[in-house]
Amino acid sequence: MENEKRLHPLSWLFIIIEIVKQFFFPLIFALFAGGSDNYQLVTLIFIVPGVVFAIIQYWVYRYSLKEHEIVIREGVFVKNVRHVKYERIQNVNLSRNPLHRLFNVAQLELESASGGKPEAVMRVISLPAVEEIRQKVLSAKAAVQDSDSKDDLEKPSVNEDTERSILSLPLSELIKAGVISNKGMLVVAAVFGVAGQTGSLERFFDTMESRMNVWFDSVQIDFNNPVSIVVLSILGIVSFIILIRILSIAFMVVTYYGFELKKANDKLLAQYGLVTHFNATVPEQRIQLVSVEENMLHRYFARSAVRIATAGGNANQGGKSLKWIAPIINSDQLNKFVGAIQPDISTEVDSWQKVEFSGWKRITRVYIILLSIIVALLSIKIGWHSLWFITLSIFIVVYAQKTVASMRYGFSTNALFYESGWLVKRRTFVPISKIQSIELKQTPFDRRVGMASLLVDIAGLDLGRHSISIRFLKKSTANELMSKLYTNVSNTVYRWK
Amino acid sequence: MENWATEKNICNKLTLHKTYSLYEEAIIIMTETKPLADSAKNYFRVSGVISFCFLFVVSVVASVIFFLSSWTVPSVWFVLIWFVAILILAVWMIGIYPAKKFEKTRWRFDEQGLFIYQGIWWKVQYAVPRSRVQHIDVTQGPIQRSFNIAQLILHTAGTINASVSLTGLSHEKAVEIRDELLFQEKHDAV
Repeated sequence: MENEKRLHPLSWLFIIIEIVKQFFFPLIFALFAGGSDNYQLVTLIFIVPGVVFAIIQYWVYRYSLKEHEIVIREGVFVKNVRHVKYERIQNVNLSRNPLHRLFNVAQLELESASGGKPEAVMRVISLPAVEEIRQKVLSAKAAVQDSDSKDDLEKPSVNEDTERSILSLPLSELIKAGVISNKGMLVVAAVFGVAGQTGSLERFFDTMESRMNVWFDSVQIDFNNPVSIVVLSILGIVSFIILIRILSIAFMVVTYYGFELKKANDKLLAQYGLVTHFNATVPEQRIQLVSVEENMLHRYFARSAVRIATAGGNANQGGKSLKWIAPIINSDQLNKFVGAIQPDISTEVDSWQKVEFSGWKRITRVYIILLSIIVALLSIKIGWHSLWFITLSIFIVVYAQKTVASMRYGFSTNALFYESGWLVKRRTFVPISKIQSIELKQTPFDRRVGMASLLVDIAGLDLGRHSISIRFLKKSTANELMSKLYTNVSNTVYRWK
Repeated sequence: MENWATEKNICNKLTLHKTYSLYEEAIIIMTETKPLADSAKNYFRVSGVISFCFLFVVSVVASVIFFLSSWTVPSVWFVLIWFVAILILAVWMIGIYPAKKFEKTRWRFDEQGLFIYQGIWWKVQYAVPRSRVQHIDVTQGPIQRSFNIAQLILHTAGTINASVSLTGLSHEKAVEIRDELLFQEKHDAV
């Protein structure tokens, strides 16, 4: 075929690195765990054919840029030809680690709305080729939009001089973000995972134990004395929190170094990263959900964090697309920022509606049952001292009441808002036109007290993150809300682009 | 805002009746929604019988293996309790559950889209607007075929409810709904 292109000639190098990376933990394991030499042999058996296969894969990988679509041919034994229309490509993500930068190449991911794996991962490709693909994708999109509005077909689609920066984060902000966030937990978990596998965790705890005896020699440690246990746990918790903050700062700086979000026409362009550079393009129409998060430290520093969900690049599948569109932002600028990334969406909520306050009793009941089980189990270990934990039930009542009191929802002219949380406050909105379906649920516990919960489904929802899922609604209110949403959603048209 | 002023469905009726009660809700559901095809009840019952038989065989095999391997004879009490448990299971799975399931499943297909009521203990309602349907499946298993029952599956671009399915429509009805949605899709595209 004419015009067929191949990946960058150095691709094989990056493929090998990628494979070695995948086997990194097994390799480390093999080196540290010692044992027999079989481990090394086994990893070699896995790696060598993998590398050979990957090089052949690179050899047969071809793509060609047609007028309306990109055609990708790949596969060694099973040949695969894939046609992806430019207008169906949701996100264009670029990542470059130091090695990429050395050779002036990049890894490119094209994501469609399928919500699964990226439609095409080009590993690796030269920068001019990236620019060529990006131009094709973006201009095709603009052309379709123009033909939709039909009035000005001749309008030049790409107008670069309208590009303006809407958020850039200096180092001081990133350090602040690190202090605020809990991302250090991820690092700790990863370290523990590796350490646990190699058995060095046990050694660490062994040395810690002997050290502790020396450090706290003057302190009388008596593990049957609840006071020593409390003092020790407080010390442990404090040092753990400090460690996590330090790791968080490192994580934030490495990930988001030089963060800049720019806006060109209706596209959002983000670039960030210290070691590996990321470059993501998100057309603002593709944003399905916007969520603002503020924990207690955020509020202390008057900062917020903003997350988006996009149709492509399902976060549950480990896509690389931009999720935290503002890892940290001054809370004063929040309205302006949301207005810049979603100019068509009104954020003026007519009237906030509360959920049924009596829901706190249900939360309390669940936690009290859990607490009783814990106390019962603990009493075997530490006897009547476990009864002290019952005082926690005061906290449970306060927590439950504050949590339910913080839940509220409301409509602007074209979006649905939901806010919840008291320690960590989260406010999420979904444009009405982006809602896919609505679900009303009633568990037997709900029915006992005449309540229901309402769920709003969208494309690219991050499972486990804050979304519009409203609990403790009165059944009749939930019914009204559902039919109101149903009518409104039916009156709008969903557009991919 | 204009859109919300013109809403015409249950919502208005509900807001009119400030003294809203369960009875009224029942009336609304009865008048606006349709039940499944009549043969669906028999289909649910047959599939209930099949899954009961499966459980029965599994539990018999498990107990036989257990008592053979430990080389003991089961006590009278064990046999009695086992028998009662199986009986309760049979009454539930064949007698009560299929009828309840049939009774509690209702649907409404109108200019807005497909609305489904489901569930006996865990009640769920789904609202899928027409314009959000990406593609539609109508499937029929071998047993379903003999009862002329079909399963209608609506796929949306959503995440949690990416596919919403309704089992127990007559095959003709399912095809009718599918064709209407397809027809509209074509017109939307033009």
